[in-house]
Amino acid sequence: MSPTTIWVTVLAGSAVCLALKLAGHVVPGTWAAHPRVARTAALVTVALLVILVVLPIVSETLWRGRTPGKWAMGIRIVTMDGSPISFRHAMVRGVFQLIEVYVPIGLVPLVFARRSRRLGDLVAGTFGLAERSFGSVVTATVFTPPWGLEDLVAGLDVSRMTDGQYVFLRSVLLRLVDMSDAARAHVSGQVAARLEPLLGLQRPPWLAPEQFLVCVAGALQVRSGTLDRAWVLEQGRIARAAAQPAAWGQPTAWAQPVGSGW
Amino acid sequence: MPAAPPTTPPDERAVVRQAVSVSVATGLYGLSLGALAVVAGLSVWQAVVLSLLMFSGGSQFALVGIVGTGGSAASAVATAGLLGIRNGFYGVQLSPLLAVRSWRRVLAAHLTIDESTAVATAQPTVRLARLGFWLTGAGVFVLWNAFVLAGALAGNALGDPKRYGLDAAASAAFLALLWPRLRTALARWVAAGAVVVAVVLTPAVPSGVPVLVAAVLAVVVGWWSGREDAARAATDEEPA
Repeated sequence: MSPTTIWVTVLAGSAVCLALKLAGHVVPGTWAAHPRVARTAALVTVALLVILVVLPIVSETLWRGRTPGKWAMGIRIVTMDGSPISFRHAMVRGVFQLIEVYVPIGLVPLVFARRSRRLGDLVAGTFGLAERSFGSVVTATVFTPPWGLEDLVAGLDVSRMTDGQYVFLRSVLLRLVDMSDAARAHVSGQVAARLEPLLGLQRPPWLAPEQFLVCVAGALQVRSGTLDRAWVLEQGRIARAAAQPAAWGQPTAWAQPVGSGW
Repeated sequence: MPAAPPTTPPDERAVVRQAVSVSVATGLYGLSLGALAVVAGLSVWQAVVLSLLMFSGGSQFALVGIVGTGGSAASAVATAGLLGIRNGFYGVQLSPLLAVRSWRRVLAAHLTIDESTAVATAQPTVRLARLGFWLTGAGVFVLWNAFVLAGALAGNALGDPKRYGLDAAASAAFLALLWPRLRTALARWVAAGAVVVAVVLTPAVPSGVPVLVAAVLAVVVGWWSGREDAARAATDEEPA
């Protein structure tokens, strides 16, 4: 809207609202007290307020984390690993909004939690992402399991890793591609060494540290639902089936690395 | 706002206390409206003039929201107006209570909002009701407009009001208004119908249209529904 149109809207809207208020004060009390009129007025208010409360939940789901208001502000709600939210996430956020109205303590995390998450965000595992600061398009990063390592990814127990550790791992992986070969090997080796005790396992010697990090990130995305577990297992089956002929004289070790403890 | 002198009777002091706490709680919402307005594309002046002249939180949030999403001017005005209808019904309840004429009547009409009506109609005597209305109306008016200005300036300066979860504040404001109105079965049916309208229409139509369709639904239900709910609906129209 142009500034002039906005002025017209503001003034016309104000005039309508003031006229309605004045009408109430001058209208004969008997007419407005008529049950049918009073009932209709009460219901119109209910319907309007419901729409205004429900619209954000509906459009957050349909627009994958955006509402008209968020679009205007350049934000969208995403899960902690940056993928679009589902109805479940939108619902949890919406339900917690109900609580936050009456117990404003739900808004306290806004100030203290990193990424300004409110209580509903903390429970739903989401946050508001300022998408304009990353350019106009935000796409989720999916750490697809490397070929042949699908079973390994599906079997990793990453339940002890925190959101913060995932965010760290993700940013390391996204930056590796820009590093020199030496730095790339060094950094991924360091991070892999720190992840091993956290996951309570040893990285097998044949698995490169960087591949290992991708596997852990993939396992975390399987856990969060970003990667479909059934799909991962299916890919693993395909990889194993393809390895069966073993026509190249190489052992199929690459396709069956899943040892005990994984 | 005149501070209560020590000789004030206790029930008058209770009204003053109510008016002050309601004014502060409501006024603070102005912060989010101001910031939201600036981000939606209004200038600071437009945000302030809107608040001074419209002075009805729900209508203002709706208008700003529709402007922000590129809705038409007509749907912004219509939605703000539909949400403002309830103020008209508050006026019907208030005018015999206040019994004012000429310019005071215009002033009373302008200060007729959810909060001032709620405090006024909750009082046991006419004298206390008048005190509650004027104190709450004036208190909310001053604080609301001051915080809208602050929010608009801050929204401009910080450029990043979303950090503070202001999107939640608008929904929270609507929800706080809605909750006490869901006491009758009829109201809950209309609410359910409005949810369906939102889910079905939102993907297909421009913003602002689902609001109007839901309003039409409510008018149809309200006008032709049975008599049994009539008495209760009439009393429920008062805010809690």
